[in-house]
Order: sequence, then C-alpha cells, then structure tokens
Amino acid sequence: MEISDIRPTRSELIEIKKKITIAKKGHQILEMKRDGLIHEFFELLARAQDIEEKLASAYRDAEDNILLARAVVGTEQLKTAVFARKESPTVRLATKNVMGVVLPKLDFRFHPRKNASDRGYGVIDTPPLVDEVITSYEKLLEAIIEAAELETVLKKLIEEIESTKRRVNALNYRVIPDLEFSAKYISMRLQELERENIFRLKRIKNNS
Amino acid sequence: MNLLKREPNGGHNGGHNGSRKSHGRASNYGYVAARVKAKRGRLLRREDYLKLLKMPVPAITRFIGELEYREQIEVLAKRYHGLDLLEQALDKNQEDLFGQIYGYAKGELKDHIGYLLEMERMHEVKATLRARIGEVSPEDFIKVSPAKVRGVNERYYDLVGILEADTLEDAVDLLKDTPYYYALHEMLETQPRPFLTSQPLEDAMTLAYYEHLLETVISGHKNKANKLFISFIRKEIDVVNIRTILKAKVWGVSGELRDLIVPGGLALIDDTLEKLLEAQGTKALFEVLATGSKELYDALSELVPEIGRDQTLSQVSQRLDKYLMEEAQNFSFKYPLSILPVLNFIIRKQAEIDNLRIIVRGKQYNLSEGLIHDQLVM
Repeated sequence: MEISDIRPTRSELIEIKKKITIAKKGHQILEMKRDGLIHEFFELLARAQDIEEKLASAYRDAEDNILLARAVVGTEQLKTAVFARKESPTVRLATKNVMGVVLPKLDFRFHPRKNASDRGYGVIDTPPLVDEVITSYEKLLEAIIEAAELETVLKKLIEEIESTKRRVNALNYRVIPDLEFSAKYISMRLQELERENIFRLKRIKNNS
Repeated sequence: MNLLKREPNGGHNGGHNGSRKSHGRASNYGYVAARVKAKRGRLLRREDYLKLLKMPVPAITRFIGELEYREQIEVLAKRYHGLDLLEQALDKNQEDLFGQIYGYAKGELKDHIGYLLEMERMHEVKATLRARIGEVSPEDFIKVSPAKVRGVNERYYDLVGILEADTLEDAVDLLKDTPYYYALHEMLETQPRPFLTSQPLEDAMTLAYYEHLLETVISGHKNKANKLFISFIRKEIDVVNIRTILKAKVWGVSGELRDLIVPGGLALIDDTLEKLLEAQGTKALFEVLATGSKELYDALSELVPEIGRDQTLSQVSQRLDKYLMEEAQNFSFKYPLSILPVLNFIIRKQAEIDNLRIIVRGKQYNLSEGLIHDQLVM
C-alpha cells in the first residue's frame, strides 16, 4: 500500500488495528490447517506405499494366473468364460470433507468380487483355474480403484497444502507487516499532527 | 445355417447325443480295441514330456510336427500361424482321431463312445448359450471360437442357430433331441428372465448329462466290463462333486449347494455327502473325505495343508484328473474287449493334447519349468 493511499485518521487507525487482529488470527488458523493437512498427507503417504505394493502384487498375480490359464485351459475357454459377463463394475464418485478440503471417495456400485455362481458361467465343470484368474483380476480391479482414489486424494492434499502455505506466507510476510506499517505510520502522523497543533496554539498564545 | 441333420426317426444323423440307441446292432469290441491299441502305442510317454520340458519352443514345434499332428498342421496352416496353428492342430487332431474311433465302432460300443465324446460337444453348447445370453454376435463368437463352428459335421450341434434364434426358448428348441432339452426348458421356466445368466442352464446341462449317461449305461449289458464302466463313471461323478464342493467352500455359491451336486456318485453319497456339504471350511471337509473316500483323500493328501487358498484349487483339479486317468488305466487292462480300453485311450489322448499345449504355451509365456511340470497330467 502506497503511503499516499493511507488516510492518517484515528478511525482508519482503529480499522487497521482490527484488520491486524483478524489477520493474525487467520494466520494462526491457516498455520494449524497447514500442519493438519501435512499430518494427514504423511499418514496417507504411508498407506499409499502399502497400496502401491498391493497393486503391484495383484497385477503380478493376475498376469501369472492368466498366462498359466492360457497354457492350461487354453485361450478359447478363457475368452468364452468372458461371454458370461452381464454387467460391468461401475464406480460411484462421492466426496468427503477433510478440514474444508473436498476429497473424492470412490465406491463400487456393482462390486467386482463375486461368488462362483454369480460369475455367470456353470459352477460344476468350469475349471477352477478360470475362477482363479477371475478372482485375481477382481482383486486387481479393487486395488486399482483403491490406488486411484488415494492418488487423487494425495494430489488434492498437495494442492491444498501449497495454497494454504502461500496464504500463510502472504499473511506472515506481506499482509500483517503492511498493516502494521500503516498503523505505525498513522499513529506517527497523528502524533505529528498533535505536536503541530500544540506548537500552533503556543504561537497564537505568544502573539496575543 | 443349420448344422443339425435329422434322421427320419427324429434322432441325429449319426450324432453321438443322448437320444440315440444302438437298435440291437452287435458291438465290434475286438476291432475297435485293436485300432485303439495301435493308436495308444503312439501316445507320448512320461520320458517324452520330460524331454520336451528341456527343449526350446522351436525344437518342441519341430518335434510335434514330426508326430501324427503333421496332417492337421498342414490343413490349418493357411488360417493360423505360430503357436496358434499348433494349438488348433492339436485340437483338430484330437477331434479327428475321436471321430475315427467313433466311426469304427458299432452297436452299444458306439453309443458309449458317443457319450464319452459328448462331453466336448456339451461344452461347445454351453459356450454358445453363454454367448447367446451375453448377447454376443455370431461374428464375434466365431472370432473367439472358430473351432466350434468350423464345419458342417454330423457330430456338431447347430451352434450358429442357437446364437441367431429369436428367443432363448427357440435356441433351446434346437436341442430338442438331446438329453439337455427338458432340463434347459425347465430351467428357463423357473429362472427370472431379466437376471438370467448362463450358470443355471450350464449346470442343468451337466446334471442332465451325467443322469442320462448313468441311466443308459446301467440299462445296457450287465457284464463285468460294463459294471466297471459304471463304477468309473461314478468315480468321475465323485470327482466332479468334490470339485464343486471345494469351489463352493473357497468362493461361495448363491442358492443351495445341493442343487449343484450330481447324483450317482460311488463313495461320496448319503451321510458322507451330507457331511461334506455341511463341513465348515476346507479343513473339516478333508477330515470327512479322509473317512468317506480314502482313494480321493490319498490323491489329494499332499495338497491338504495348502487347500483353502485360492491358488490351490487348480492343483486339486489337476490331481483329480490324474487320479481319474490312473483309474481308467487300471480298468483298461482287466477287460480288453470292452469300452474300458477306449475310455483309457480317450482320457490319455486328451491329457496328451493338454500336456503339449501346456508345455508349448508355458514356454512361450516364460513360465518356470517347475510350474509347467506341475501342471502336466502324466
């Protein structure tokens, strides 16, 4: 704020002091929010590492199982098992609020994990290896959705932490010092006006 | 296109489906046994598989090309290449070979061989019904399963007709002269249509198949060889049932598990079957099995500590296949002039085709030698 923009009045000083109090409170709250988000982020980061490992292991299992099944039961039998698929698993996107941050939450509308008779093909003489392949892909799908949700949450948290940090810094290094400077300037100016007034009154008294 | 040809009497034209009867013709056991014996001599032995396991893929394909599969490889070479060609040639060889044996046979023997080979046809019909219910177009079905509709052959069902039928009832009507018709029809009447999946229909077909197979063989000649054949079928039913129960324990089933049990088993019946169905968890199930059927328990005993985890059921299934193969082998030497040597040959030939595919594909997908070895039934 330019000095010329500051009105050196008592009411302006009162207004600026109010602003300083609010800015300092806001700064404190934002600092707490930033720390809370960082704490949440590191907690989720540890979970993300577990999920990443789970995803990698589910993918390896699914790949190993499908290759084994293609060798043992043949590609054709695997492909014809897929004909039984009547519905695709769909995901419902909901939201949850963590410290004012809206984070995504993914829920299966049609859960991919099914029992042997709900997969659509015969239970009695379908080779168990086909079920094993399907089970491993069901697990992989669950892990993918879990990982996708967590990755999005982490990205959103990072964005929010960054933005909160910018606000905290702006308050700390710009807004509050500027307001304090203005308050100091106004109070100095008011003191100067006071002194000028006293001097003027003394001159008038001497002349008369 | 209708692949079904009907005889004036309403049966299939030589098709080996459940409605056919031998009409009192004499069986030619001696002739068929001699032909099968010659073919059995050409089957690969355990040492051959172990040798193949050590070879790279090109050497394996050369080895297979020098066996009796050459003819099918040459026929299919225009349409397929690489290992797909080999896999298709293996399947076609099996089909041609079984077709030849079926062609040699006469009388009751022909009927019995027909029933054994019917299993493969039943799988084709199941895959087609699955595609029909899943609204897969005939073109897409043929892309995935070219072998299933590859020729106008008296032994094939009208798979394309099933896919193109206006309604599911019309599709089932195409199976009118088969053992599956009434079971399928009944199932269609009881199942709620918008949620209908292929599962109840497929399982009804399997139940109908075994019911009809047992009925027909039991009503045939009452000689010792036939009794052994019946005993083998019952053992196979035990295997089918234990597999279903294990699947239900590991993955669960909706509805009543009893409805998925094939009646007519040999050892797993009455109290034993009830206890198996009621067993809580796979550990309890194996305790029941240990007292109910020592043979089956022994076949699986090595895997018992592992059972219950997802990945072990395929190993159980493989051990059960091996158990059935050994049983067929034991029976086959007792009565050379019966269906038993043919049964043994059919099972061993199917195992050979599966083993070759497992070795070739396993090598292609870089599966470990140990893992490939574990999947072989030899």
